[in-house]
Amino acid sequence: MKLRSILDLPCGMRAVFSNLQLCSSLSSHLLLEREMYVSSGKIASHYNLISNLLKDLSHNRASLLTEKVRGLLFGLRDIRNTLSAVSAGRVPDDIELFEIKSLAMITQSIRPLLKEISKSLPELPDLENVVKLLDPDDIRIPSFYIYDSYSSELASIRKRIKSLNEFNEDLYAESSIIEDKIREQLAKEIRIHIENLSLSLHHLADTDILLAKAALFVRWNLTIPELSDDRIYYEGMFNPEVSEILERQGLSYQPVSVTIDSKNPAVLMGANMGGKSVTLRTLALSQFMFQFGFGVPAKRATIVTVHEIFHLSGDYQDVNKGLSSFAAEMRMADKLLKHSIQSSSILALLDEPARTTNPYEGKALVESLITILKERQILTIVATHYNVDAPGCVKMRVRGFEDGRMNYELIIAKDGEVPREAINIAKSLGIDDIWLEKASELLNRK
Amino acid sequence: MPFVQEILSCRSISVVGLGKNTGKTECLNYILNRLPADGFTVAVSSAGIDGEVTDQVTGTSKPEIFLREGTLFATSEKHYRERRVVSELLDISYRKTSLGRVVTARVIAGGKSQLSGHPTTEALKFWIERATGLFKADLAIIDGALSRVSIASPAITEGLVLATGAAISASMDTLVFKTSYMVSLINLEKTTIPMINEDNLPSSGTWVLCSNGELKQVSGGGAFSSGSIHPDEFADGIALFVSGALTDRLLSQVRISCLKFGIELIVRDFTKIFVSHPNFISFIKSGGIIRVINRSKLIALCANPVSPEGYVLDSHKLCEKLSIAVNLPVYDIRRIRYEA
Repeated sequence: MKLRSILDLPCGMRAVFSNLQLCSSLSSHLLLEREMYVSSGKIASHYNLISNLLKDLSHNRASLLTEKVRGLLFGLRDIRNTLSAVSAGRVPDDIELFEIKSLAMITQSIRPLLKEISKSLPELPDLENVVKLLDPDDIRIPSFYIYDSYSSELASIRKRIKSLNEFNEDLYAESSIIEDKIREQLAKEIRIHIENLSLSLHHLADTDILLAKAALFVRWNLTIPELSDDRIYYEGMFNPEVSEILERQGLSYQPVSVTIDSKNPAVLMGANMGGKSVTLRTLALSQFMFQFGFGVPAKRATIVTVHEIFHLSGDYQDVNKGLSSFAAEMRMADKLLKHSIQSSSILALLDEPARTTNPYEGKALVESLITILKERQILTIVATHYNVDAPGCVKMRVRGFEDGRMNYELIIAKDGEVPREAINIAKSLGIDDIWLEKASELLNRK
Repeated sequence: MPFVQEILSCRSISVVGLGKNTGKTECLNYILNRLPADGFTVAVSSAGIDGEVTDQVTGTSKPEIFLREGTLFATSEKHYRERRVVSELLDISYRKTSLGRVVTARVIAGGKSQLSGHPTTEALKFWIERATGLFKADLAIIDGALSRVSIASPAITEGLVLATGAAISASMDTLVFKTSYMVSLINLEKTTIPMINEDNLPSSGTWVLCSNGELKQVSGGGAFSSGSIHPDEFADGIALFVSGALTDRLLSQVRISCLKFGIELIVRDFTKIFVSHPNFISFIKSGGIIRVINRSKLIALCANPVSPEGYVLDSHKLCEKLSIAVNLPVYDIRRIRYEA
């Protein structure tokens, strides 16, 4: 699964991506094409690298050097097409030679800096020979033309061109022929270094991505989680996007702690407006962030690497496919069940499944779904308003209204406890009194 | 060379043709040839895509720009590849135009190239600053197109040279009339009303400028939907700012419903005025005031008596008539070239 494909899922990966401060458009392009890590080994080594990098970056001098590197990375251009064309035998024109020279010069400037900043940053190849080739006069400025020093014949023709007042077609044509020969020769010599050029291009983009990730770690207070095989646990998990919005309004996000065990599916109950959906969205986001190597928004976390993340976020009405929201949701759940036969490496985050149908059947559908997922040992968390009674699941609820304020903390619910918060919350919203009193009366009579 | 002193007193000028085949490129070449050669660096570029060897509309040949040694120039990737000049590539822009990115280079040995250029006014402004700052050019010259199709506006340069010619009209009177109307638009004065955030004005819509310098959007005030500017919206207004095009319809609206408030009408620059001459005159005669945000000083007027169809107007008479009408010196570049 590529990062690009999950960017617009409801969990909010786009906010993570747009908060990454990448210097070059090449880096963002390559990052979007990255596949999600699905092996624990790869994830562990990636986080090992990031953890070392974060340590190295915390030194005073590192931030100065990092700014220098970032300044240089702004000049990084996507010249993959040029490189592959040159390696396939095409002779580059001046614009392409200029770009190759820029890449070589940026590489030479950044190379020693990366070594000094951290061993965790990529080691760039030495491109001094390319620089020398394209900067024969050793001026060390990233400009380019076919210099006089490439050929004495060319130099003398140019001298004649300069001495004339009028534009001379013949002399210009003559010089063009020599220039073409020189370009051909340059291409030949560049071809020897093409692999290193391409390697450097990718390493520079990697550096850009790593530095941007590290900066996000610091800015959002992200954590490197521990790895586990069967249990997901977050302590003090927060949604970075929502928390930034709240902070701007002078409010703060209340972090929650949550556990998902593959043997005991979690059922999340509780009031409307109690943050259930945000919790599920944040769980989905954190899982993706974890598996793309971004760290997770929590104080502490233990996470299971999975192959697939199913996040049923609620509204799936798809007019284009002519499906009602119920049908669309059923299809999604059906896909989840089919995949769960083949592999148990799935995280299922279900936000009020079957909520659009009647409570009798809805409850049965949810209970049976939980039971099956439990049998297949799928990591599952279900948010629901139904008083589901599936054996072996852990019921949690949002603490709810306390002294007129919502407490979003998740606590273990007592058995048989039905959350009755809807009327209280409606009252707090200032909804019609007569209606709410009548509803309370009816409930009391039952 | 006439008017060279005025040009040298500016950091940036644009050369603008009133229409196609008015001799703008010739005018540009003329200026480039006569600027001091030693220790004076010129940077040339174009506003918009403009630079086929033959004119796409009339099929007449279009001269390339002759670039001297040391001159800085900016053109699109396509035209850079087709250049016939030895030049050192200095910089490539990140934004793409339809002809590729914009390349900035320095001439090593004189030759010819087409100029094509920057996609937006901001990009053009940025390039002028870079050319005169980072690359240390003493003067930036913009080949400004007046075809007005959403391209960069030349009005951000300090000075302006206008090229007009027989291609506009075979009748000398019509030519003089059209030219002097354009000159009166170019000469519209810069507004003196202070605006908040002047460098970052809204890019579309019609806005009421309040006495505290803030802008309030006029509902339904677009160029094509200006049917209903409500007088109430001018409660606190001292001016009306039209961000996009000033059309006949919008101007009539303003004349009829807003003039009584004594407010000033502000447009970005003269290239945004798409108003017929009678309508413009009746607005001014009714006491209306039009001001601009960006104003270029009109340095000179160049007239080309030859039309692409082949007829030739009397050069002396044309220059004289134009000069009286616009109260500026007028030059026929071909003639002064032969006479010089």
